[in-house]
Amino acid sequence: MPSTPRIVVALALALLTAPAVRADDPLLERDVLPVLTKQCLGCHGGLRQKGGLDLRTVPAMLKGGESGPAVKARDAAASEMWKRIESDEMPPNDKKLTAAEKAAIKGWIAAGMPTVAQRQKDADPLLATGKKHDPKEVAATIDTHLDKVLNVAKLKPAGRSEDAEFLRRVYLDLTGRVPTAEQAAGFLDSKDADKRAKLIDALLATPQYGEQFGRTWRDWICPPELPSDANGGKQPHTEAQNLGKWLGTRFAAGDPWDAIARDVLTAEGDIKSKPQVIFFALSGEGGKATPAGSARATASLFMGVQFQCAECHDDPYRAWSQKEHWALAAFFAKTTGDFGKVSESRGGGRPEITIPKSAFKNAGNNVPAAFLGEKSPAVKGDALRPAFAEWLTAKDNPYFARAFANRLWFYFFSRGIVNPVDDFRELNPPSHPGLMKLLANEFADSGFDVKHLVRCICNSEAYQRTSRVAAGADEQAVAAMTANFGRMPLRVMTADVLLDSLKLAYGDPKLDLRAIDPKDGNANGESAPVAEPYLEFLRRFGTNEDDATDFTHGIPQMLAMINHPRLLAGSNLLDAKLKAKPAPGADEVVEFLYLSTLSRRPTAAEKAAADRYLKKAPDPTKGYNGVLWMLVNRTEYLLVR
Amino acid sequence: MTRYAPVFFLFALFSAPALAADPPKVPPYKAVSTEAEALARIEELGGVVRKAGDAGLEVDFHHTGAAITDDHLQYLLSLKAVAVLRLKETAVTDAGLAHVGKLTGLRRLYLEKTAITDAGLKQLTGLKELEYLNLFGTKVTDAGVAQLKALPKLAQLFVAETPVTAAGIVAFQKAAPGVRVVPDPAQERERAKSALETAKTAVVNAEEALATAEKDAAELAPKAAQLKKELDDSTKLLNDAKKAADELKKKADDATKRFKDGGGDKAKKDADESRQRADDAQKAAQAIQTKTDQLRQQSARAGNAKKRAEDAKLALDAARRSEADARKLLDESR
Amino acid sequence: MSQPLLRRRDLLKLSAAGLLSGASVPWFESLAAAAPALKKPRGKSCILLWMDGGPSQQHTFDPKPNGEFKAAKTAVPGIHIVEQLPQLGQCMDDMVLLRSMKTEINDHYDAKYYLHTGYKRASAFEHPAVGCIASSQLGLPNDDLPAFVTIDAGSDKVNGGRFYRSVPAYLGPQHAPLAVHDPYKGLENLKESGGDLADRLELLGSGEAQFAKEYPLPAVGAKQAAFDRAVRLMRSKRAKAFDLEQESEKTREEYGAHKFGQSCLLARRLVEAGVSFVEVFHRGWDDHEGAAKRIAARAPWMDAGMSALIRDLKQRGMLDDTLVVWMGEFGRSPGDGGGHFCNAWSTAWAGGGLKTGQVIGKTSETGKNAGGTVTERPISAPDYIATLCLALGIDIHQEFTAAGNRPMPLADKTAKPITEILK
Repeated sequence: MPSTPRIVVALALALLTAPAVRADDPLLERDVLPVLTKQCLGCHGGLRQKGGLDLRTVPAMLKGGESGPAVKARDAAASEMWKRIESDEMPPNDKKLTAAEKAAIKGWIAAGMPTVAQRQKDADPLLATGKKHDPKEVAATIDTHLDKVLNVAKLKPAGRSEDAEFLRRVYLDLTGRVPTAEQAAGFLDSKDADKRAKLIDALLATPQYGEQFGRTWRDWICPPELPSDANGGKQPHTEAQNLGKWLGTRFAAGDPWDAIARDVLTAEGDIKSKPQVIFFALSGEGGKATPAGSARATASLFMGVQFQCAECHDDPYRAWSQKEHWALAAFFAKTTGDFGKVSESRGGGRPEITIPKSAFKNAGNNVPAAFLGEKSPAVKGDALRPAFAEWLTAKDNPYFARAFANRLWFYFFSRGIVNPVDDFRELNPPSHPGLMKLLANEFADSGFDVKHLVRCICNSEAYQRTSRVAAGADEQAVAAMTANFGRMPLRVMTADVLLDSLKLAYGDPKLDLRAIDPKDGNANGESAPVAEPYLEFLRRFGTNEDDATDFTHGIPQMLAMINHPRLLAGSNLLDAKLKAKPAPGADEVVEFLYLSTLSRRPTAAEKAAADRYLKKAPDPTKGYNGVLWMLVNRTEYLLVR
Repeated sequence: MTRYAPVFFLFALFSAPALAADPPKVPPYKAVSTEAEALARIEELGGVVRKAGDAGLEVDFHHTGAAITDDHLQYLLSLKAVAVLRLKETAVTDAGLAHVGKLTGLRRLYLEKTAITDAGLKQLTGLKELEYLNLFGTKVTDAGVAQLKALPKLAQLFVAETPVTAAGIVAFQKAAPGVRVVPDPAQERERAKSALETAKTAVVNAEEALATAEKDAAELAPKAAQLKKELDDSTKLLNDAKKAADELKKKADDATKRFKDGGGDKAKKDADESRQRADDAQKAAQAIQTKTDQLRQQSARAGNAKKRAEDAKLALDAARRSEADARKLLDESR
Repeated sequence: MSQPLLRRRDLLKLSAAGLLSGASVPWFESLAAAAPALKKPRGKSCILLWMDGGPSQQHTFDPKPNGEFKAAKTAVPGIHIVEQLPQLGQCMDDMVLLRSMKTEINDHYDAKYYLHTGYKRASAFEHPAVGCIASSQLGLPNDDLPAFVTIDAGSDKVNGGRFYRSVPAYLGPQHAPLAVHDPYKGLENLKESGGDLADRLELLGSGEAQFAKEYPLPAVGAKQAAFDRAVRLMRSKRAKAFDLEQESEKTREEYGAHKFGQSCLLARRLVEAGVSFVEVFHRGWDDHEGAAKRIAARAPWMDAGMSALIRDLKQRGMLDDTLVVWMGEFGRSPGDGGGHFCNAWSTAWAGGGLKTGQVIGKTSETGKNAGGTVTERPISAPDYIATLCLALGIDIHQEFTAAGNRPMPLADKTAKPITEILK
């Protein structure tokens, strides 16, 4: 591979040319910044600069405050910051720095204040830019890059997943439900060497692919309990679900991401013809669109930028200023929206916004609209949102492509290349800068083709690695390897995916696991604690959005799985199977049940255990119902290997 | 370097069908020598040890049920400064209280629904710091409680659902006036008296309501049809009157407008007269409104008189029963 | 829970950012917080009686001279409440009335949010409800029973705006409440369905053991532990706390035949079983057509249920350790109680080891709009939450970490707790 020598050389150069920097020197972002964030930035950050001192970036530290520069490269003894920390004069409260923390800071100054960002500045983009590549080539490049990094870090990546593992994982990730027994058997029994790639293509062509991605984005856009108020105010659950469905049809059709983004951001009109208009009210306040809310949501979802702190004051910990936040919000200053429609007021005047009273600081100041990182745009007063959307979705926009690519990577690997997934900034560098550039470029060069990017990622060995862990493995080593994408994480099924998988396993599209009977009358209207089956399931089985490896279900969820009568009452598919001619034997039925839930065949031990159980059952159907119950209560069922 | 130890423990739990059987056996008492060991044994039994205030520990066996026996209490003797001990519904008996009696710093002791008796209480008389003692649901009697007057710092004593009698409590209160006892016979009597007063008032109100309802049933109900007719007529009249008033008001408004638009004295006179007529019509409509409302009320009363009478009878019966209950309560508390 | 210096996950994130360091750095280890050998002090339990919709104060705990309901004496000389609540009047020496609530918000949902969290609703993120705070501060981790349970006591009218659901927000999903939708039915799905659970568990066990061997990971351990706790709960005596049939007929009658009373009884049982915070909610108090008739109809069962609860707690010696709080999201207009009124309203507390038998705050007594303004000691929503947390033994000066590393104090810094009622 032509790229291979380049990455090795780049790393070697980084090692050799950095003056007297050893491999285990403290680095700013990794070792020093966490300490500063916890102990110092509250008073010496974006919110307050006591003594005129800002410690968020190296240039700021060198500039210093009232007592002069805070640090002197390679000379801790002469660095004011070190002197005060060493003597415990700072921080001026009870929570002093520990010996280890002080050592990190001292070591860092002594090493010349190296930063990860410096090291990553010249990261190799790995493939020629300006054109779309074959997915297999991109996939191979991803793998080579990741393997190199793992090698340097002396971590051995996990092996390839078995077919059964991969089958279930890719069905769940790409279509949001487990495969049927037939689909599972078909894949497992196929001898086609290229079956994995073909399966990925086949799944991308299904409408369920769109549904799954549509509802994933729906959940990223709006929290499950929607901000609706006013006496008797209706919650727009249906409209929010429709937004998900609309996104789903766009994804399924293969529409490019820039077109979708433009359609969302420039939408005007009635929700009946344009489901996406609800985006503004959902990210607003009290059911109404607000410029700050629209800015915050747009920044997080489409640009990978966290703006929530900068609404009221300069972000204490990140370098965003309040002015930048409001300059972005100014693009939405003329937008009015609620849960039914969105409109834009026309009329000239400079495109600017007045900071409202609700902000902590600078209320009343006028801020002109400006693209993030640039001065004011040349925009006529009328077409604010279209001008913004055009800038955002331009091929060379620094935020758009990489924000989506990172989110997509986060979706598959439960961990972005930049974390948190919407927190791109200089002091939060990507763990794999080359990979980030590769994916962002590929996405932009393919015309923001989502399916293409999915293919590139899913065809990589990295995505197809097993999530198994060797017995007795060191926890920290496993975590480091997973964090470097040397192993797939073990993830928890989201509520949507779990519900669809259960519906499939039971052959019951109306599967209802609500805790109460609607006839009891507790289910009336929006003042009722329990409403419709879908919503109630989402509430009960919701998962940790930030970390898919975090199992958060507790006793109520487990009790529902163990004792809800519906889960023991059998499945239509099972009944149909039992009625087939010739009548299937116990082995065949058990295999059918395993395939429709765990997407694999039972082992010999599992077959024996099932036999023992079935012998005790009063009649065959009851026995099989019990086996099905057992399968959906298996840890392997709820988790995604 | 940590291994995944906790998961292997669970693996053991699942491999055995023990999950389907009885809970694991309770470890018997084994002597310990250090506080740390005692803490570990207590936690093993399912007890929870917490800090209690500034100095002292709280040991909570509340959810261990039958697992805790008298022997296990010896672990407490290895702990420094046990201040609060919760033994509700455990299998502790009088023998166990011998150990408890040695916890000289004990301030609160919970013995609800345990099998202790008066003999056990005797062993507690050395607890000089004891402020709170809960004997709810035990078999202690007046004699046992009487022993507790020896406790110098006792401030709260709970003896509900025990064989202790009101007389016994009163006697104890005389001997130890600083102790708040629950149930307190004096308070119970107050409560019963007040309940009786309330019930009596309820009976009086119910009798009044019944009387009114019966009167209506006798006098108004027969006239129901007639009242309805009168109501309908009045309503019709009212609608006509309202319509007329509205029309006159409109005329008055027009006249006023004409005047304002530059009419002269004649226009003003017209306006004033129109205004006057409109006001009169309004007043007339008001009067009819009032009468209609009255008729509506009466018609309604006539209509539902029978039902109200039935309801009132039921309510009176209920109120009389409440009064009887309250009287009984008061008698019992004497 | 206030975060340790750095969460483990963050550490690993950061180490991954440094490509050239795969081995563990010594100072990572030192950040593993040593588990405290002794658990924190017990704190108290709380039973919150939430009257959704805004109950009228002048028709309950703050009657006025020419009001629609007459005032009656209580067990405490000088304190009067409406005559329709006689049994509660008899409990007054164990109660505290807070009559000067002044909470700025008249919209249902926003007010419910405000009075459950102590913060005004912001668009950026959600705040944890006080029940979830109690669960995180007072509950024992990995306990069989959840620390926070809500009980639906029904409604006599479907009004009061959107239902507020307590969320744990940045405290973590394990502090979300367990919801009992019908006190008569107890905890849903607690009873075994199908007869052969033991056999099915055995069938399950063999497969689970193998999976745990192949995937020794935290998510697997967490799931198996939660499953295990659920099965233990099904068998445990503590689960019987959810079953009202275990109580004697006499006790059930004392609490009253209404769902509210039975919910109060269930709440007492849950607190006995170790639940830290129980919220009993009853909907339908949004009496726009006038409060008199409606509250007259509700008073008998509210009086019976709440007073039975207080008496029962007292008999069992639990009253000092259990705080009972009665309230809604605001009060109602002086006079007929026809509109929302947040400028002067009442909540009633009982037990909890407070200095009971007193009234805090006063509202105007005379004039056309008697009761329309607070004349003494106004209590804001942050004041109220801070007081509640202090009364339960929670440290209100703690800070949590919300999204974006934002420090969130448990109680708003401007809160002035009502120390006059705390011992």
